Amino acid sequence: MKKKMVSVLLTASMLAGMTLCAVPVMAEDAETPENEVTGDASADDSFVVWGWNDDIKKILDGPFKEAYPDDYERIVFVNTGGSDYYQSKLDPVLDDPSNELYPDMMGLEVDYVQKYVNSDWVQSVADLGITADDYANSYQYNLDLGSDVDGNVRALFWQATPGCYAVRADLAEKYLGTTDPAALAEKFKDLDTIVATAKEVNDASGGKCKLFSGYDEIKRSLTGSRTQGFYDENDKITIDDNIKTYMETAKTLYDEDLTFNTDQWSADWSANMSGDGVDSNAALAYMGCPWFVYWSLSDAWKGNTILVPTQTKCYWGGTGLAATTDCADTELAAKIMKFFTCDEDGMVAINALNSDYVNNTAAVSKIIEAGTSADGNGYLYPDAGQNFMEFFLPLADGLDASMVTAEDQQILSLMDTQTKAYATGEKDLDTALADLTASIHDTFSYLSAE
Amino acid sequence: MNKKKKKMIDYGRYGYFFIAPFFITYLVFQLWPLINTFYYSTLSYYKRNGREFMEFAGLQNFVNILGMAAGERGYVLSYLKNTLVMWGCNFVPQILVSLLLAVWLTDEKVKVKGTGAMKVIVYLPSVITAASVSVLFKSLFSQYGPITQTLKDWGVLGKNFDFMSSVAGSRGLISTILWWMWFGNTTLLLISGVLGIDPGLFEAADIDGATGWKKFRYITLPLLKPIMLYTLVTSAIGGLQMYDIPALFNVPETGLVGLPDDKTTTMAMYIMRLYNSDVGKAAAVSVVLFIITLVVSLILFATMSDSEDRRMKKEQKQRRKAGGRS
Repeated sequence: MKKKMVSVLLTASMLAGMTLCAVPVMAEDAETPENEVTGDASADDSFVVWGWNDDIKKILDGPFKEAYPDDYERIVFVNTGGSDYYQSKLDPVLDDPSNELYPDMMGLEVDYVQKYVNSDWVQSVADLGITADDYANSYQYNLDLGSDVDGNVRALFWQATPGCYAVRADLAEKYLGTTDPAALAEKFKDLDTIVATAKEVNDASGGKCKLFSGYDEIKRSLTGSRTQGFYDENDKITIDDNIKTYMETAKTLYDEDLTFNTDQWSADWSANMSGDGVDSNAALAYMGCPWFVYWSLSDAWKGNTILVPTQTKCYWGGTGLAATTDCADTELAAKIMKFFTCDEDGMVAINALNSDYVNNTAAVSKIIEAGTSADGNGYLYPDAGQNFMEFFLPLADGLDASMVTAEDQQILSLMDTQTKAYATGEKDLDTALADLTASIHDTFSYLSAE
Repeated sequence: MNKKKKKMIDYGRYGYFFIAPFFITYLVFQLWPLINTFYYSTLSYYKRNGREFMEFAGLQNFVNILGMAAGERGYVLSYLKNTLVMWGCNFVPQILVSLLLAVWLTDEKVKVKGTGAMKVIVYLPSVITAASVSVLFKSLFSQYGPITQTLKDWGVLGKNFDFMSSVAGSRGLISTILWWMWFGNTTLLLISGVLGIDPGLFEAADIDGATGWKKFRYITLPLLKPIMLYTLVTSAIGGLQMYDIPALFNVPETGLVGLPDDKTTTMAMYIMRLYNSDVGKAAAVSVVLFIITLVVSLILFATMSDSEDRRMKKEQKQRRKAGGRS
């Protein structure tokens, strides 16, 4: 009997033991896409660059290749296929400089760039030989984003990303009765007016066309204009008033059925971009910014887009470039970084590639003077008479990114969960905010709730 | 005589060689990580900005995850509840449907045609990978997915109903997916169980005029008990570690939060989520899951293997008692 008990105990503990070992293995096969590697990483002089999409690669393949054909040959590009998996793929490699794919340089998104510039993984740009004079024309908020807590600049950005609403001209004509940018801007001047406009569109179209695809279209305008971050200098979690405002407005939009309640980037969200608002659902406006226009809008928006400022100045996204601590060739790293983020001609060439709003005031003036990119890569509605670069010029001025924290990507995602729970009526606002604080503390135990 | 004895010992040694690979693998890849996990669970071990912070914390992680310290919430308990609810809603229908199918497909009187094809068809869902199944179900049942729309058109669902933002809807769908993926497997197991029953018993029952239900109730069911318990044990252990479907089905792109409102997050998802930021806490949750699984397995093993033993021992005892008296 004793023997039997022992055998049963052993078998059971073995089975249960698989719990601990099986879990990390399972994580591997989750839906993460494979890395897409272009170039020969095993070459002796290879220079590895990481990004989560082919944004950087397109610039390397285009203007950079033209300017530095020999250096271009050495570049190996690793595309991880999505910003959301980026950190979990990148971090282990950064801890292992002997890895063939160890990045010499990498792209870092605004929502987590602070994590990397405050880590031991990246070099300060001064160590690469890039001086303050080199990036004198950069927008200040981008410099703040790329600086560590001591103010050393460690990542530089090639684009500025002032937020706007992209309005579809044909639907605006039909349901709001105007395609005049100034008149449309009035319709988006504050949150109350936006809700009223949403009602107007909903009533005029019988619900087939809505102002926004989902209430989260207003999210970035509120999170991107917060005055305080998700925690203060003592690591105590703080919730900005804008978060409350966002949740409340989201609930209004949900309760009054003023959007299609989709999630940003979902398939339904994309489908609403191409609807006609009569037979198929269509959204009249999307949260936008310079890269959003050329990167995300569907063909229905070609020659059909009017830009309207967000109710408060905000920014959305952006990519910082940083060289790693064990970068094999700091000279090339500096060359690429300068071309992308400091060199006027380089940045004019980047703009020529896709109409991006570059992070260099002198280059922007040059572009405006030359009259290029006026039509926003072909997306702007000609009759509205807008000029793409001139439209963003005032919006890019005075942006503030001081509230961005290293954990923003995950915290914003936790906020989405609570916003949805509140909007759909699962819980009240105070519970949602308390649950948000608790979940932030649970994910990052070094941030305190009290 | 001596020579012979030596030879026998030699033979015995080969046996150990043959089982050695298993034990070596077990020690290196299972027991060692297991011990390590216990060690990590006693550390305050987290990452911040790429740097690791590690110090001894005793049982603090356990106190924290069970919500027993001020300012901490017992997320483990709510995720355990999520896991058990979704597992239960999948297992109960699974065993019922499988039982029904197993009995029908093996019944001599019903003589279902094409049982071979049926067996293949019910097994097919478990061949597809979890990732594809989640994507398939998600697109079918998304807010504007074909099934949701059809059900709305028929008036079965309210105009604003969305499976993905309804707790019951999301949990129900995850249970349905698990049921759909695993009932074929269980059916095959039960069929082999039914086929293992002596046909003579059924014949005898037929001669005595037993109805189908009576045969099922008094012959099939009691004799299937061991195999059903086996199914229960494996399913319970798998269920507690439920990960792939909920982790892929209704989660935001950034991470393992089971939407809506964290109500479809399982224990294993929680471990993986913490693993990226707080290793110590992740290890503590793993240990809790380990203990729960161990207890559940022990209980089930004990009831499964010993009932026959106990009965026989009791009889022996009684016989001995009776013998002593005479």
